[in-house]
Amino acid sequence: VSRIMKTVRWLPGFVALLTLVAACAPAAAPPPPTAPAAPAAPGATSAPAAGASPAAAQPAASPAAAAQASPAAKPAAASPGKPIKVGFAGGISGDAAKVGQDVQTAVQLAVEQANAKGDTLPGQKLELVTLDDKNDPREGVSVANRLVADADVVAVVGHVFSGISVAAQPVYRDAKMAMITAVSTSPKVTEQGSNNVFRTVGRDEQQVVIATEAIAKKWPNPKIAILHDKQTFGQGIAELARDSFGKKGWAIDTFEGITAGEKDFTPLLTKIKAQNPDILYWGGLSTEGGLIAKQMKQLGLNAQFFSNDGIWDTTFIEIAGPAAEGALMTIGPSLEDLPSAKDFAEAYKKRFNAEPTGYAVYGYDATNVIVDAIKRAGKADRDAVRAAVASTKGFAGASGPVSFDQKGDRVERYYVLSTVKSGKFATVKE
Amino acid sequence: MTFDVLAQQLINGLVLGSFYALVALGYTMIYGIIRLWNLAHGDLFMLGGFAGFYVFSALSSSGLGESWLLLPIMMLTALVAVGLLSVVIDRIAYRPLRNAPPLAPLLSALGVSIFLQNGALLAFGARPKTMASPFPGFQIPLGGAVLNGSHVVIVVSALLLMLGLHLFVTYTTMGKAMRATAQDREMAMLMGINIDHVIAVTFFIGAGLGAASGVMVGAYYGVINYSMGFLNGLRAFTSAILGGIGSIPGAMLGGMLIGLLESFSTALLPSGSAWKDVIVFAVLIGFLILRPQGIFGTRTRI
Repeated sequence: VSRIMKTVRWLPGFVALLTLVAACAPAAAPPPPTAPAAPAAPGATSAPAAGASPAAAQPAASPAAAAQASPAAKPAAASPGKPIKVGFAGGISGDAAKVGQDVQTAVQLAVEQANAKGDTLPGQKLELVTLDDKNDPREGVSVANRLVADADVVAVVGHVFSGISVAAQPVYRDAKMAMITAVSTSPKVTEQGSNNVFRTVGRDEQQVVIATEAIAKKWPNPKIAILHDKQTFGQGIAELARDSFGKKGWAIDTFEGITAGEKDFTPLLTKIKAQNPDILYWGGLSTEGGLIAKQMKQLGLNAQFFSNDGIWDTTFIEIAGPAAEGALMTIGPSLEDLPSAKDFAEAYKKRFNAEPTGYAVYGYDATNVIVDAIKRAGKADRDAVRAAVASTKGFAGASGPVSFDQKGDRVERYYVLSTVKSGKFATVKE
Repeated sequence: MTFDVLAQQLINGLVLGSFYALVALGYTMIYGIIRLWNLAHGDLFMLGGFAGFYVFSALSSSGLGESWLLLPIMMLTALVAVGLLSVVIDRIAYRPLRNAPPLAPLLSALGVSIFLQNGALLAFGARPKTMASPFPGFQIPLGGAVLNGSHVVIVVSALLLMLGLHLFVTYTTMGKAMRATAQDREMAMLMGINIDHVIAVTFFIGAGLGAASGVMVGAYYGVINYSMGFLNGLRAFTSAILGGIGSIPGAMLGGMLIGLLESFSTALLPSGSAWKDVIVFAVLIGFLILRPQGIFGTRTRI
């Protein structure tokens, strides 16, 4: 009897725990806070981009939109009224959520515009399926499986950070489904021997080349300290930078990893200060990057802070504050410098009442490449769409022409040397 | 290592140690009194950071923005608010399990931790909040090392809070009741001590000190996010064990030791920043083998 009593006394604890876990489960995927208009609900979000969008009101588009308005009434021959689904998979909650939210909103805009213009197969609407992977590789794989399980999903824009893109891609490969990432720049992403992975951004080798050129121009024989966050992207680009700088014969006194999520790097920076380097190169993301830039200034470590598109997120500037000014990084060009991005920037502002930042334009292009591929394939078939994406050549994207090489990397070089000026990322003009 | 570097690493370590020590006090007090590893303690520390942030945002636009009073007001508000929340958590999640097997309240604490972290994510968003420094801007010249207002204020406030706690526990009636309850709960009850009241006060003080640490961490680094409680809570818990769980001076010393160990293992070893956690936990394991009760702990009687 006493044993049973013991078990019974356990129950309240279990019940309490289960209730708490149940209460937390739907809370895990909050709507992106920066996109007030985004109708993202917890968990899987099907956003049928209907005529409610302002883009639908564009005069040129309205006849087509009207023709598409009642697809059920005039069923097309192929699969009447059935929506063609495009997935977005990436972290829109969690620590670095801003990066994914930028992309997700742009993807949404592209899908809405395509529907408004009737830019799909006859009689069929596009539908966006947004799944949040919280920038966690395990979640990434699970999200990928959910997308693949939905037979109507033909292609996916995602994932965000390289580690997650690498982990999730075999799932899409087995389903013969194209995945286009708008953020992942690690070489590993397209070096897995799959034919289904593409990216609208550059590769880290390209940005390391530009970093090396920029340093060589200003410092004849620099001493460099390299830090990274031990993640796929961060450590990967730090190693590429080490190799590239090493080939120039520059002294690299420090090459060290830190733990992502920590806030105090003063012991490490104090050690580096004693070596008096000219440049501190950071391979990692914006939160730790901002803290490092800030603590360098506090400790009087006067090396040039140099980074890459890992810190391309206004969070970096907010955290580092005045210490961000003058920092150098290799990122994509500012939208103001891209004539091709003018229409996109205006439409985005109108739709979300905010400036498009970070990787938004690459998410927009990735989606439009898929839209274009669906039309060229002529059917909502995964493998046909994948093949059409692979054959994309000189597609007129908002970030410039988009072409993919054999591996799925974007052919056009896009990184530019940039800095932070008056609290904003700005291209360094020669 | 030159004098400058040595002095700077000492300052870095003491600042880190102050943060850990204040959080470790909460772990050790609650463990001491009801033998519960309060897994939600790190998240209360995080909520303290947010409370400080919102007080700062509200007051910095008013006349108090430049005043030295700003930081004490932030800390006091966070201490009281989070302390009260902790009492409520104890009432709801732990008190009903007071006589249950020890694993039940531990699971309940895990649930509270998940609840608080996700609640903060929903309420405050995923993007880190950033704030300007409310610390006095003076610099103390110390050769090539940097010792500024924030370092002094952090270490001194941590020491004052710990001294206050020590005096409270040693000389007040409530402190005596807390010590009695920690020694033998049933006997204390028989002596007419209101156990539930004593435990509530312990939860209030423990969480309040953690929240004060959260305010200082948020203000010092200028970044507050929903997940900041985890790593800090882990290190603070390690500090509490190293110092001897249940012992208040032990938590203080343990926190400082872990802070210094982190800063000096980073400084002295090549690739030290990647290895510092290995060093910290190796020391902890070594200690547990040679002296399982920690520095100031006493062997538990069975």
